Amino acid sequence: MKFPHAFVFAAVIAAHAARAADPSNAVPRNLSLELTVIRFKPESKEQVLQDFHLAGASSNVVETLRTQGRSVDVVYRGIRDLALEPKAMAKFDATETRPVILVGKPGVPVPPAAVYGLTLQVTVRPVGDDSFVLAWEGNLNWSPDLMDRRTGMQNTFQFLGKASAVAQSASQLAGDSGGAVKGGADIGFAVAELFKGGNADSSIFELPVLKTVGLNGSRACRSGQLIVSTTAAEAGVKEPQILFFVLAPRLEP
Amino acid sequence: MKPFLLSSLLVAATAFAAPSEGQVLVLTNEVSAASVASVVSENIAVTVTLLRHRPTQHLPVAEEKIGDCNSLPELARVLRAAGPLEVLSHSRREVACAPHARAEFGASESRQSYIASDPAASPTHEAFGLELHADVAVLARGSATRPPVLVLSWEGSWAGSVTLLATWEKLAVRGFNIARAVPGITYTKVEPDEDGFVNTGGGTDIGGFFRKKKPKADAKKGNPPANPEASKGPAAPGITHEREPSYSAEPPPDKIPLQGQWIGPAGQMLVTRRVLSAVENSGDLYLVVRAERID
Repeated sequence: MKFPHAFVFAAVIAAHAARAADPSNAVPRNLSLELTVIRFKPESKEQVLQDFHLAGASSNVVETLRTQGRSVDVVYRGIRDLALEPKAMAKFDATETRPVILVGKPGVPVPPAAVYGLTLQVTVRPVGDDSFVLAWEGNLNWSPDLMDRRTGMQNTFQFLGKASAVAQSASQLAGDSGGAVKGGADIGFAVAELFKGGNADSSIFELPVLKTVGLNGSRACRSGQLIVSTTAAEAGVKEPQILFFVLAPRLEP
Repeated sequence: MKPFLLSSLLVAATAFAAPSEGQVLVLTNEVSAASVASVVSENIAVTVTLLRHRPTQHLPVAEEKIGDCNSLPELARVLRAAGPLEVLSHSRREVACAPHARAEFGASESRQSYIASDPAASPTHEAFGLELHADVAVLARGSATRPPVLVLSWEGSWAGSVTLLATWEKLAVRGFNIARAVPGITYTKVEPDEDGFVNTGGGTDIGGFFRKKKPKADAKKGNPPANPEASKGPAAPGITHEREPSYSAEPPPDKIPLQGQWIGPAGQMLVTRRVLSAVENSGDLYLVVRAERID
């Protein structure tokens, strides 16, 4: 009865091949997604249009950029693990806001509090044994004003105690700065950090610029391939800056 | 066959059909959403760049010089040799076309303000910058020696500060490399009056897409154009010193529509130019779009 055995064997092989061909039937593997958001200040404005040919791991990207510009800031870095199966999804949400309190002035409308940070959702769809499609959707709210200010602060994050120093670098539209520093200490650390003005009742306070970058895109890729999206964050007559969104997928063995 | 599957196939077949010369192929959201195939065609990187150029001789750079440029840095060098050049926006996105995909190039900024004594009177905080998306559809896959054939369309707007755009009186859009590469290039018309501009040309003619700005909406009714100075409104109190233009203290931005469509092999640099004719703020606005295959 060799024929039935051979027939069954062939059927098993065919079924196995069918399962291998259909990604939905394959045993899911683990996929690690690393997202790094980098703010880069190039040496010259011409570099805004340059293709940096980034490759390798995110640490290599940072090192590569460091050699070609004035400064590299890692704005965000996150790793998510997920099973490589249809409709797999990972979120890279990391936002922050700084609410304002006006001490001793109940009922007075408070300044708007912007939400800064990253909101990004990545979906994965396997299309083969080692290949998959990544699709991402989200945005980044950020402010170079805040970032540079924080970078310049020594032993920072004690905003209340450092209110005066912070206010020195805040944008000013009007008034005497000395009064604003004291006023900032009175009305709360958030206001002290964000505002500067003379007579607090008559001044116009200007919040840090709020920049929003859309990040929608997709890519068919394999493990180890680097996905790089860029946006010129500051250009024109301003100091050139570039935002890099580096997504590094890696299939676990 | 299930109705949904049939409709999807019809939509996909419509999307795959190469348009004849002069035909306008409109990529709608319906097509993009319904025709997501299970097989990936190509990975495409789309780069969108917005440049502002102020030629020292107050004359735009010759079209031939622009058309001879094969790369963005080369274009920048040509423009910079003729006057100051500013990079207003430069973004790169990747898309997996199966066969359609969309990339977002939104990059806007706003600066909120606050008057402590009267928060309701705080200046507006309009968003400035680029709002643009690009749709990419692969009509024919490429090979090792031949790039894929794409339908690339982009639509959006640029919201510029009053110092940049409010005094524009005449806009012109021209295609450069595209005219040489693909005779069948098509532009879709912008809805008239939607943005305060009127189409005086358009269609499939390269370089025939000229648009003139209406004086103001009041001109429709026979009234004289509004005083541009008056439209700025009262200056925000307390601003006494020179600084960069404050978005919060300026009127809402003028939105310039950016729209185009192109059919042809990947890798072409598509350049459109809008000519500013205002005396005190003359210059050109260049939109450069490029789609390339990546592995």
